[in-house]
Amino acid sequence: MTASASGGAYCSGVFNTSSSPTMINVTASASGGVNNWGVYNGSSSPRMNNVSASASGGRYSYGIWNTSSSPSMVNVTARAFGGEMNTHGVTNTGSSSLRLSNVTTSASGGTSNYGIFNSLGSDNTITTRHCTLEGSDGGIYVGGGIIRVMQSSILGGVTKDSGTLTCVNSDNGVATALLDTCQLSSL
Amino acid sequence: MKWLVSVLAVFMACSSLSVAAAHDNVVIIPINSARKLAHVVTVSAQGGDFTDPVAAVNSISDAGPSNPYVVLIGPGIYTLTETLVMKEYVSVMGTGEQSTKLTGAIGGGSLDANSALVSGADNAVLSDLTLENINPDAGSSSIWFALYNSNTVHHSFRM
Repeated sequence: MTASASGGAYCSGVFNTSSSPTMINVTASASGGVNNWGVYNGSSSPRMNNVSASASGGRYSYGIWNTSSSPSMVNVTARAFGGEMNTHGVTNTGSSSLRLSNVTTSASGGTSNYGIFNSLGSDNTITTRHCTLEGSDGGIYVGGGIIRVMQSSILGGVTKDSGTLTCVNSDNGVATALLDTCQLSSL
Repeated sequence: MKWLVSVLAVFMACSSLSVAAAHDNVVIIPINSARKLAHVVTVSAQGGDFTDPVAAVNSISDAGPSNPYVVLIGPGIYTLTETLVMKEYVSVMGTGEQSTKLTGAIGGGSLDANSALVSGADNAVLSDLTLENINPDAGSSSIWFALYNSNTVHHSFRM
C-alpha cells in the first residue's frame, strides 16, 4: 500500500495514535507541510515490516516519528530531506523503546540532520542491529535514554548530550571499526 | 459368440457417442453472472455494485466476527470528497497499488479522522491500493493525513 499526503500545517502519510496496526509492504510519505511525518506513531506500537517512510520540505521533516511508542521495525527505510530545520530519518521521544533490525535511515538538507534522533527518558532503550544510520550532521543524536548499536554502520558521526551510547561490532560505513563509545579511534 | 460381439459393438458405439457429446459440451459463464459472491461488495466505474468507495463501505451495516465483508475496488482513480471511514470486519482491497488509487483533498483543523482520506478500523485489512491526500493550497494551516488510525490494534495494511 502507498499512502502520501502533502501540504498544510501538519501532514502525514500514516498517522497512528493509540494504535498498533500491522504495516507490511507499505510506502508512506509526506511533503510540503510545515511539519511532515512519513509515519507518525503516538502512543502506538505498530509492527512495521518492509516499510519505506519519507518526509521532505517544509520546516520540519521526519521519516518516522515515535513518541511514547514502541514499534518493531524490520526492513525499514526512513528518509528525511529538505526540511528548513529539523530533518530526521527517525525521531524517538518520550518513553519510547524500540528494536530496529535492517533499518536504513538518512537525513540531509536541513539545519539539524540526524539519521536517528533520540530524546528519551532515562530508562528507555533503543537497540539497533544490522542498521545503517546516516545523517549529514550525525548518524545518531543521543539526548537521553540507552542506545545500543550492534553490527551496524554509522555515517556522519555521533552527537551525545546525555544518556548512554554503546556500539558493538559497528563501523563508520567505510570499513573502519568504531570504539564501544561509537567514536572512531584517535590513533 | 455372436451375441457377445453384438453387445460389444453396441457398447463401443455408445462410448464413442458419449465422448463426442462431451467434446461438444460448452460451459458458458456469463460475465454478468447472477452468481455473486456473498459479502463481497465491488466498486468500479462500470459494472460494480458502487462507483464510490465511501458509499460501498457505508452500505454495510451487519459486518461482524462471523459475518466479515470485503470491499473490492477495481482499477481506476477514485476521487473521495469525504473520509472513507473503515468499519470493523470490513476489509478494503484494491487491485494493486499501481491500478487502484484513492485520491482527494480532505484536510481538517484537528489531528483526527476528519483530516484523513481514510480512517482505519480494528479487525480489518487495507491493501493493494494507493492513497493520496493532496492539499491544493500549500499555504493552508490545516492538517492532512492519507491514513489515520486511532485506537486500532488488530488492523493491518499492506501492499
